[in-house]
Formats: sequence, structure tokens, C-alpha cells
Amino acid sequence: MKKIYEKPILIKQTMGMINKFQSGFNDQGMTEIDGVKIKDIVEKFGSPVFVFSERELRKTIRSYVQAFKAYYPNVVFAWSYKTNYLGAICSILHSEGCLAEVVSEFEYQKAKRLGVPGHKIIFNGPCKRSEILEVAAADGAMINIDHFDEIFRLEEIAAKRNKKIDVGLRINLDSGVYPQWSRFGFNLENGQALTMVKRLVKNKKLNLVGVHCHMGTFMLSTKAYQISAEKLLQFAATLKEEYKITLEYINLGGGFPSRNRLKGIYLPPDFSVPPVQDFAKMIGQTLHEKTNPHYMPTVYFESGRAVVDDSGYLITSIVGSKRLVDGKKAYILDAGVNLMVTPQWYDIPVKVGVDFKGPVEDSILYGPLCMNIDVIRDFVRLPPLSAGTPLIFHPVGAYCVTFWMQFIEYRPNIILITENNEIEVIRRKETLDDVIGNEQVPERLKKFKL
Amino acid sequence: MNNIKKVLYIYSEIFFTDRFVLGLVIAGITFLDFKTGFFGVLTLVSAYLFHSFVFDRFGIIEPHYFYNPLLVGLSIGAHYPLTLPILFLALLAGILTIILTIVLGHALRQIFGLSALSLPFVIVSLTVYMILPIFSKQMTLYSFQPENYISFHLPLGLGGYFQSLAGIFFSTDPWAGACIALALLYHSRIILLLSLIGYYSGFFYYEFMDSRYLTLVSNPNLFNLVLTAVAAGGVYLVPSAQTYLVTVIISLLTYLVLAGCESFLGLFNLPVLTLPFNLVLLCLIYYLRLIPSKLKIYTFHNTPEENLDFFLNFATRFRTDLPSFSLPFSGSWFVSQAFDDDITHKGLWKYGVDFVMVNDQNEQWVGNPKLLDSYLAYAKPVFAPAAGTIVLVVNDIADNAIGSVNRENNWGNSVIIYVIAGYYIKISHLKKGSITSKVGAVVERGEIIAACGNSGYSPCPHIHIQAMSGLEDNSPTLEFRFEQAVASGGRFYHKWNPQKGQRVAALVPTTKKKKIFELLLKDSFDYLVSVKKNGVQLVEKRERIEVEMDPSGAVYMRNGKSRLYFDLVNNFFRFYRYAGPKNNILRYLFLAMPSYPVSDERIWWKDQLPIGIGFKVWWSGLILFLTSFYRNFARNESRLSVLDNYNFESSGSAYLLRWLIDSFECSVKIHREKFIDSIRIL
Repeated sequence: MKKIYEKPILIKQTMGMINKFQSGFNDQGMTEIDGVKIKDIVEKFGSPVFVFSERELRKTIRSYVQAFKAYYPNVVFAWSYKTNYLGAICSILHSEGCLAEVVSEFEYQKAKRLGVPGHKIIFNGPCKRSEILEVAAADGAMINIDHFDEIFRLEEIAAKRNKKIDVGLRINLDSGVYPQWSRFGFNLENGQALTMVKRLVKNKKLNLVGVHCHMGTFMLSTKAYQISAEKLLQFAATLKEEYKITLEYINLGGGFPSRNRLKGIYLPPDFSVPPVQDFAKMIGQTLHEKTNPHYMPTVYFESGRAVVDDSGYLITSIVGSKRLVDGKKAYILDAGVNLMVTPQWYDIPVKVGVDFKGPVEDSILYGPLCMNIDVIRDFVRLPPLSAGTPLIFHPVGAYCVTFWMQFIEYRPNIILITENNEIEVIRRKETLDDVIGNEQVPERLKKFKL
Repeated sequence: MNNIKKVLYIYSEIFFTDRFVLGLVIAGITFLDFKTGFFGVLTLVSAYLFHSFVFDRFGIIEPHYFYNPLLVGLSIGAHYPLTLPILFLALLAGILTIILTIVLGHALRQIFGLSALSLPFVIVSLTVYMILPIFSKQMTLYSFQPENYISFHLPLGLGGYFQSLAGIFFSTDPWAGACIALALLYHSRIILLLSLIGYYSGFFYYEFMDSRYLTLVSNPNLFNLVLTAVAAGGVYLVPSAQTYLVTVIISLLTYLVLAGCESFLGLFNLPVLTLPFNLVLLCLIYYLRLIPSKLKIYTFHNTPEENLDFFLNFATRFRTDLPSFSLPFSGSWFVSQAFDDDITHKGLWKYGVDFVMVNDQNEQWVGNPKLLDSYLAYAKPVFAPAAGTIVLVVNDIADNAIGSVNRENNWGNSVIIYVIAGYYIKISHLKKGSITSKVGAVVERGEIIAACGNSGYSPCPHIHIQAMSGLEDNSPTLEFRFEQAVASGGRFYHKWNPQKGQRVAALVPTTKKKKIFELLLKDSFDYLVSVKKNGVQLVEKRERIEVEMDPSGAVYMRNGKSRLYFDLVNNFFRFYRYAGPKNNILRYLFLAMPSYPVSDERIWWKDQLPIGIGFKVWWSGLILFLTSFYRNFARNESRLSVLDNYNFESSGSAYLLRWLIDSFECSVKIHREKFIDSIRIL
């Protein structure tokens, strides 16, 4: 076979510098996912292609539920739709017992369309307009109120229906996290939250049944949750004593981290990200200390990233390569920031889709977009790779298939590998009709003569 | 109207029951000889007026206070003429009787925990008979000697039987006795059977002994045997084949006592009245209080059939014969060894259970199986299974590495709790240093007390739990059940017998639904009840159910005269007792929802209805009568399953021996504020 010519390269040897986390690149490529060969996937479904592993997803959610339940029995997980609202993924999680956590009219309708009953939907978010609030109230959804005007709207709806509505309050508090997300909900420390409770009690139209506090994302320490749980349960005790309100639930939000590599953290995820067992233990202990066998409110967690990230892969292929002016090797891939927004904050681990041998060199990965910002990894050590070689980005299960753009490129196929290692397409690749389907070109513009 | 009923209950109290029809029949019989009935009413009135005057409680009639005065009046009227002095004597006798009833009743209760039965009547009547000769020398006194007995001969000695029944009310007319027998047949077949056992025990004993005792079977005093048999077999003991045998023996004993009393009192020309019955029954009740007996009745109902139904149903449903407590962990665990199992649970230590935590693939570890930390069960919290006091703590034995065991301290780190109910629970193989409480500390059910470890004879981390009758290492283990467990498949068990290889978790409580089942006194609910047959509406009416409390502190729902007792303990709501007429909506409530584990989980469970509820009302009495001979004669099985948050369905089957007699299906919807939203029964 004719070998492709590669210009020789010079690699500076830095002796004496001990690299803790392996100097070379693992020369074993990743040739299959869940027993299905990468090249078969690319052949059948093209490139790029998102691949989700049902086995991994179920395993993760079950391990989370089991870990938390060993400490506190009344724990329920809700699936945060904004992390990944693909119908198939949500259905898998609902089949494992997860509720739906939605933050908008669109997400609410999506959950209902999937078949989630209204009273199993947690409705958060700052933008809840009257129309959708009416529907949510009628359905008995768990609405967590974000601001005062929302209270007005809900009271109007309650008056119109002549029926009290059960609501929760979103609370923000100082849990030691910086920055404190004080833009959502009512503050606990300055008394705003208690004032709202008084208002609810006085007007008698809304029934306070729970509190919600989501205080951060990708939390690397369990302490914030412990403080949050403690303060919320203390608040619940105050409500019981002074207003005779027994809260049915405490919602601690989400924010558990995944094995992704956050930029700016020195240690790799294996060392810096606490495992779910640690979160379960510390939070569970706090819950147990602050509740008693006669009063064990339901504790909701709205996890997203932590549950789905690991089960998502993106297979992309090298379209071309070039050597940059400073000597660095650059590869152009067919997936870029249009499909992975999160490279802004994460160095997503990448693996080569074929076995390889030989030395590695510093490389930079560009996407397909004709935009200067389209850089996926600005530093990764790869061996010389030819066009057509698949690369696999993992974990990309979280946010990539919701927070993506239809920009310049069609959005690709998304497939699911079942527990029997079979493949099912859960979102097909876009066609031109999909992209321009909503466009309405005025008639007068249609006939142009060039 | 209510008071008239109460007055008739006074007449039926003699048979230990409050029944309108029976009371009416008995009252009628006392008036067969108008004089007798009249004197009966006279003493009643005098006793009532005096009692109400002294206690300032006019308008309140308690039947069990007044049947003694009634009997005194009847005994005077039966044998003495209606003259003014005797009338006046009767009035005084009535007052004396009510005073003696209260005084003697109180004294016996305080000292022996007994009631006075009809002793006040015996004492006052005998006193009256004794003093009459002093006050009236001209009167021809009635002779109580056997020569005066009139006998009627009917086949099978029934003449004597009917006479003895009538004799309770100072009548000698056997047809009156036949009426009483018919009334008893209507009221309770078991009481009728017992009355026959009582009488015929004496009858056959007499025949057998070939006695020269002149009192023939027409001895009306044989009613003492009837009363003792009815009381022993039908009121204080659970009806069963053994009970009937015991009743025969007790009747024979009563016969001996009767003969003795007759010989003694005959010397003074006095009748025995109900003296033998009182003596024997008081002894029996006191005796029963001292010995543990599986046949004792603790909760009294109106008929022995109801006693039996409640006794059997309660024992089957709630297994109160075994200790029970909660699972000592949270979340879902796996039973690796159960009772009487292969590895270590044998002999004295038969009743121990081992739990481990596994993942989906039934592996106990995640990661490297050689490392202790990889095991899912390791370091997981252990919770107190019941409230009690900690009596032993061993906390300093090192956890073994995987694959090695400690044979010297084979229990490892352990904690023993002395439970209030009177036994010990031991949990072993705990993590070194994880026990947080000291000896003497009082723990509540559900508190964290330790963590799962790998100490002692433990190759990999697991929780071992057992119940014992004593503290020592070689104390025998007791068989027990776990409460409120949900096993694999979503089946809920109120009392779970652990099986090897099953996954189990404790029922997860809910705050929201608990509010629905926390029914308070003075709560009341209005419902619309409609009965349809083949689509045609037969009845539609409004009914109201109210929550009340009875003198013993038990709460119940009341509609009309029916009561449905319930409680909510450890997140398990149950209806456990039904009292009153059965043609009532509360019966259907019991039928549709005998129990409900208060949780949001999608579970199903089985339950058993009492025979009076699960079988058609008109023949449940007969079925219970037959059940007294063979306990497994009738069986009810219900299966209930939760559909979603507020809807569940139940279906039930009623069996006689092997044959399915009846079945039903219900769908029930519970309601946030109204407790029940709707019940549909098919």
C-alpha cells in the first residue's frame, strides 16, 4: 500500500520534567462503543453522528438513586429537560422513575407530549407566562415560584378557577458557593423568602408545599449541598412552628458534576470530581440529622449533566489537515462549536477511532464552520492522522443536543445503542426541508433575475 | 325511642348481649304471668328513680346496672302474692339491689378485676326470701323443694331444656322457653349450641351417674348450666372445637356446684337462683386472667360469631403472635441469608437474616472486588429497627479485608437493643467505630445507630439482624417479621417473612398523602351513595360519616349505628374492626379498602376481610357458626394495587373450603380533603 508522505517533525524532549498524567497518548484507539464498531456506525449513519448508550444511562441513574436512597429513603430524581430533551433519552429516564423538570412552556409541552402526567412535572424557571401557568395549575404540576409577579399571576389564576393552587418557592441562599446565584428566586438571609410566605398565607389563594434551591453547576464540593439542605430544613421548621405549614418537599436542584474536564482545574476529573457516593453520603447524613422519622419530606434532585454526560459520544471525522505557521498541526473536523458549545468551558476528552502507533505531537482541532471561534481543542497530543479518520468526543451527553446550533451545517443523526447492542435512530439528520420549513419567503421576492 | 330500646336491652343483658328482639321476647315472657312481669318493672323503676336521684342523672339508662334489680323483682313476683306490704318490700329491694350492684361491682373490680355478674340479685333475693316469714306469718310460703317441680315431657329431653330456658325468667312454661330458644337461634347459633351443650351435659351426666338425686331433668335450676355454658363458651372464650369441649367440662363442674348449693340452701327452704352460675363463672374469669390462653377474648362484641370473626381476622392479618420491627436500612437491599438457612443460620441461631447491597448485575461491588471500599454495602448507615434502649455495644473490632474472617469475635462489632415489647434485637458485623450511641441510650425507630461493616465472621460486608429472648450469646433467636416492607415486584407486606434471594426496601413514607389518612376527631364526610343493578338505579341517598372515639381511646368512623375502627401506625392505615349492623356504607368502605400503606410508590398487596364483611350478610352468621368447628372453613382474600397517586383498585374472593363462592372488584379514588372521592364496587 502506498504510504502517505508526512513531513518530518521535531519534538523537543524535555527531560527531568515529570508528567504525572502520562506523557504519551494511549496508543490504543477507541474502535467501538458498547460493542458496536465505530466504522460501521459511520458507514451507516454518516459523520458526524451522536451516539448514546442506553446501558450507560440506565446504569448511571440507577447508581445515583441507589446511592442516595441508602441514606435517606424519600429521595426522588427529576430529569432536567434542558440538559437533554431528546424524547428517547427522557423516556428512558422516566422509565427509571424520574420526574420531569422543565423551565419553559416549550419544555412543559414536550414533557406532556411524551406522556408525563402533569403532577409529575416540576416547573421551574424565571419566565412563566400566564397561559402556561394556567395549564400547569390545572395539571397539578409542582410550580416553583421565581419572583413576585409570578405570585400575582398565580393568584389571579387561583381566583379564576376558584381553587387553591399548590406552589413551591424558589430560594437563593449563601451556601458558600461563589458566585451566589441570587438572580433566581427569593433570598433567604435577608428575609425576602419569609415575607413571601407571609404573603401566601395571608392571601389564602396559594398553598405553600415546598421549597426549591438550585445554587450552582458542576459543584466540586459536597459542602454547598449540606449547607443548602440544612438551611432549607431550618426554614421548613420555622414555617411549621410559626405558620403551621408542613412542607411536602425540599428540592435541592442539580449541579452534580460529571467526568468532564473543566478548564482551569489542574487535576483531571478522576481526582477532582467527587464520586456520587460522596455526595450521597454527605447530603444524606445532613438530611438525616435535620429530619426525624415522623417527618421525612420528599427530597427532589434535578440532575442533568451528571446523569447523561457519560452516555453521550460524538463521532466526528477528519476532513483535512494542515500545518500552521507556528508548526502546530491542525485538523479540520466535520463537527465544531455548532454541535459542541461546551468547549468554551471544558476540554472535552477526545479519542482516536483507529488503532495507531508512533509518536504524538501537539495538535489543534478546528470545526467545519468558517468562523474564527470554531476551535474545539486548542491543545491535544495526537499522532499523524489522515483524512477520514474518526475521532470520538466523550462525554458529550449533556447540553450538546439541546444547546446546539443549526448554523452552516445540517444537524446530524443521533443514534441510541440499546442494551442488546442494537442501534436505533432517535433523531434523524436534518434535510433542507427541515431547515427552511418555517421560512416564508414573500411572493414578490421569489422571482428574481440574475 | 332510644330509651325504650335501652330498657329492652336490660332484659337481654341476662344473655350478655344488647339485642332488641331478644329483649322483646324475654320481656314478653316475663309478662306471661302478669304479676311476675309487673314486679319486674316495679323494681326496675324504683332502682332507676333512686339511682338517678342520687346521681342526678335522669334520662340515662345503662342496661348492665339494672338487670340485677329486674331479676330481683321477677323473683319476688314469681312466688309471692300482690299485696301492699310485698309491693313495698319489692320497692325497697329494688333500691337495695342497685346500691349493692354498684358497691359490689366496684369492690370486685378493684380487688379482683371482676364484675359482680348477678350476685347482687342472688344476695338480695335470698335475703328477701329469708325475711318474708318474719314479716308475714299468715302467708303461705312458697316451697322451693324438688317435690314441687312440674315436668313436661318432650322427645329428647327437650321439655326440660325449654323449661330451663324459661326458668331463667321465673317461668315454668316450656313454650316460653321454646320462644327463647327461637330468639337465640335468630340472634346467635353459637349461643344456642352452647345453651344446648350446657343443658345436655347435665342431662347426660345425670343419666350416666344413675343418681339417686331426686331432682330430675325437669329441675329448672339447670338454667345455671345454660348460663355458664353461654358465658364461658360464647363471651369469654373464642368459639372453637376445643372451647366446646371446655364448655362441657365447665357445665359438669357447674352441675356439681349446683347440687351442692341445692343441698345447702334446701336446708333453709331457699332456692339456688343463679348462685352456682355466678360462683363458677367468677372463678373461671379470674382463672383465665391468670393463665395465658390462646382462646381468651380481649375485645368483646355483641355475639360469639362476631367475637370469632374479629379474633381470627385480626390474628391472620396482623400476626400479633410474632415480634415485628422495621428493616434496619434505607433503600433497596438483598437478602443473602434468611431463616433456617445453609451457612450460619441454624439451630439456636435459626432466626437470623443477612442483608447485602447489590447493583443491577447482582454484584456486591463496583470496581475492584478485592477492596473493601468497592463494596456497596460498606459504610452504609444502619437504622434502629424499633424504639428501645441500647444494652450492649461492641465497637472496636477491626473490619476484615475481603476474603478473611475473624473467628475469635465472630459477631464483630454489634449493638443490642432492648425493645419495649420485651425482647432483644441484635445487629452485627458493623463498621469499627461507627456505633454512635452508648449503653443505656434510648433510641427511636429509624434513628441512625451505626454503619455496615465487615467485622467478625464476615467475608464481605453485610448486615446481620436477629431477635432474641435474652442478652447472652447463646440465647435462642425468636422468629420475627419485618414491618412495612416492599419486596421485588412491588409487593408490599405489612409483616414480611424474609426470603433468601429477594430484594427489599422499606416503604417510603409520604408527607402529602399522610395528611389524607390522618383523620381527626370531629372530622365528618358527606357522601352520595347510589346502588345500581344492571344499570338501573335502585337507591340514591346521602350519608354522613363522622370520626369519633370510644371510651377505651380507640377511634372509629360512625354512620348510623355502625362503627368502623381504624388506625394509622408507622405509615400503615388499616380498618381493623367493624361493629354494628352490616347493611351500612361503612361495610363497603371496609370491603374496598381494608388497609392502605401510605406512600407514593406503585405497590400492590394482599389482605383478608373478616367473614362478616367478605361474605353476604344474610349467611355470614351461619358460616361463622361452622367456622367455629373448622377454622379454615371460610377464607377471604383481597388483592389491592395502586394505579397512580390517588387511584387504586381492589379485587376480592370469598372461598368456602376449596370453592369460590363470591368475588368483587372495586376501583377507589382517594381525595385530598374528603378522604374518599369515589368508590365503585362491581
